[in-house]
Amino acid sequence: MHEFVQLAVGGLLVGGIYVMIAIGMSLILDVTGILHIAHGANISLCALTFTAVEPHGFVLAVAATLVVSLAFTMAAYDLLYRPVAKRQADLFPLFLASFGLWIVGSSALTLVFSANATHPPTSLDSTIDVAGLHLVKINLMAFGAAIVCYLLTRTFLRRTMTGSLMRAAACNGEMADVWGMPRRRAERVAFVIAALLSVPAGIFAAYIFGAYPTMGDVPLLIAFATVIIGGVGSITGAAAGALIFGVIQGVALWQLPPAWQEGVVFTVFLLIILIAPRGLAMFGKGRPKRAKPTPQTSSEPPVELVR
Amino acid sequence: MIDYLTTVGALTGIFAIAAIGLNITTGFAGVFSAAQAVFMGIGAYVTALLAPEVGGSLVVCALAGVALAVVVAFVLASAALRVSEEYFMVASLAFQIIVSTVLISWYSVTKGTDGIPGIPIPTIMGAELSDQAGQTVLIWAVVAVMVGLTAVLRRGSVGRLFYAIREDPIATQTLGRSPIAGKYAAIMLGAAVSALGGVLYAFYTGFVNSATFDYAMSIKLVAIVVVGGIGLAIGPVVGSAVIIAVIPLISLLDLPSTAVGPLQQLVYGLLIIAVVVLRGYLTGGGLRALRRRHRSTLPSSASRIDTERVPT
Repeated sequence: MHEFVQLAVGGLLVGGIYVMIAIGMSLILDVTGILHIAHGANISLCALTFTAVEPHGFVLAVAATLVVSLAFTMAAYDLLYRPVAKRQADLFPLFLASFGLWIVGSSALTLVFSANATHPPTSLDSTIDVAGLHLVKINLMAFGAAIVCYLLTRTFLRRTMTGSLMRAAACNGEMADVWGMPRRRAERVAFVIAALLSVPAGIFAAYIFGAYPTMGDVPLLIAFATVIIGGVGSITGAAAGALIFGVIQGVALWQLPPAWQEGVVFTVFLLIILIAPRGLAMFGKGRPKRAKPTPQTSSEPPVELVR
Repeated sequence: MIDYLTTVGALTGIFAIAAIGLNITTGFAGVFSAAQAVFMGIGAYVTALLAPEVGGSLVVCALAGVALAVVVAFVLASAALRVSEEYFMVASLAFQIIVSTVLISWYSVTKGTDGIPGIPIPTIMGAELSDQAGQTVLIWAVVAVMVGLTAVLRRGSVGRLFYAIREDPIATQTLGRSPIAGKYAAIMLGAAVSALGGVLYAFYTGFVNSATFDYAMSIKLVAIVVVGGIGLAIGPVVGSAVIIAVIPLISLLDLPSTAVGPLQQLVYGLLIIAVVVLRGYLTGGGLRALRRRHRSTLPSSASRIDTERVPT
């Protein structure tokens, strides 16, 4: 039992990384409607850049990661998604474009960097004991950073004018257009926030998982799963979902060999959408229960970024 | 040289069949599946395990593979269709990873990455197809039949239902046809065709292992469908000719062997992006907007509403 708790808490801490990715994904999806899969390549890019520059100084490495992350994400928005969206109104071409960019990004990284995982050296990979549990210091820091990122994003969305603008655009884009709100600015800010959040996510992922060219793929997929599980349109739901998946991933090691870890996580994901297709948020909100859930009708649940 | 060309020709045909399955699901009904390699893998593994028992009978293996793939597709659809359509892709990718995990880790049946060698020579109606040329002819015969069938399907009532679901599910529902039932049909039909491709793949190569049917294979199938033209009956054949026959010529360049795989992936990705961007210029707004600009000077908001009509 002690081992179980140990694994669960370890998974919870790693879940912090998924929180940072999931919030960014959730924002982009709500404000722009784009399923930004290429974000996975961006996470890998951040981790690899940080690991490569880290020997020349920590601050320099963080700055380089920030620049690279912003450059990649904004290039994706301005040079790929905008031109495509201008000519094709539906979301499917955007989604295909993102899919293509993801493949291009991760294969380009594989060409440039070695396929082996490299961990940047750190003295923080030792453990401290809290109530009989061994906690890795760097994982604790990742969890702390995730909480800070969550609170900052939430405050930004709640308290600032731009935050309100983004919430409006997420809630009803066409109505935002009618009122003359600068929707493009909301979209751009959503991408900027996602790019900023992937900097700590990439750095901690480099320390914890090791940096290699396809490292971003599974965290991204988990982040997507959490966005769906958490209920679309809720960064709190996304963050909670990310932590749950972290725990599941940790607990999966209890009785099964590590090779089954990802399989278990995604099996749980499919089971959850089987039971609760609108996400876990539908339990917490006490929404009046429908006689028969009809997931195919496009009556979207009300989108509130802050809940 | 002839052997090489036969092999490339046969593989092009096999992937064309698998991609025809994906084209039914994604191109006709608009359900983006990133798990099509799973169904191909099911066909291949059923063949690898069953063929020695039944003396390599192609018909038995094909029936069994297709049946199992349809059952698995039903399971995937009943979980993944519960979320709205954009997220089907995430669910299918999750499904792909689950199945890959099972194929790698369930060693006693699938032999993991070691794979199952020695799949017997296929027999059809009692005749053995022992040489490669004969199998290649068979594969292309199947390709021809499948292209013909999908062309008929596309124009028939089922195809129109799929098209209606893709363009406007709500209107379809209003008219009394169930979009969900249609999507189930599209996914299961696509899985059946792709499984047939997997069966032929296992017979042709005589060897299957778990690494073949991972998500890189699913990406390859998506690239084939997109490059060939989404929703065209002949599209997968064209796409397969480009992706399977032309792009591997990269390996003729003097490159380190580790760079070939990623470089091919890079080209797939660039092709997908190029097709999407070009499609925008050709169909969506490009030509129409240009023409309109010549005709009159509409305010930009009016042209915006006009382009919101979904390009076909």
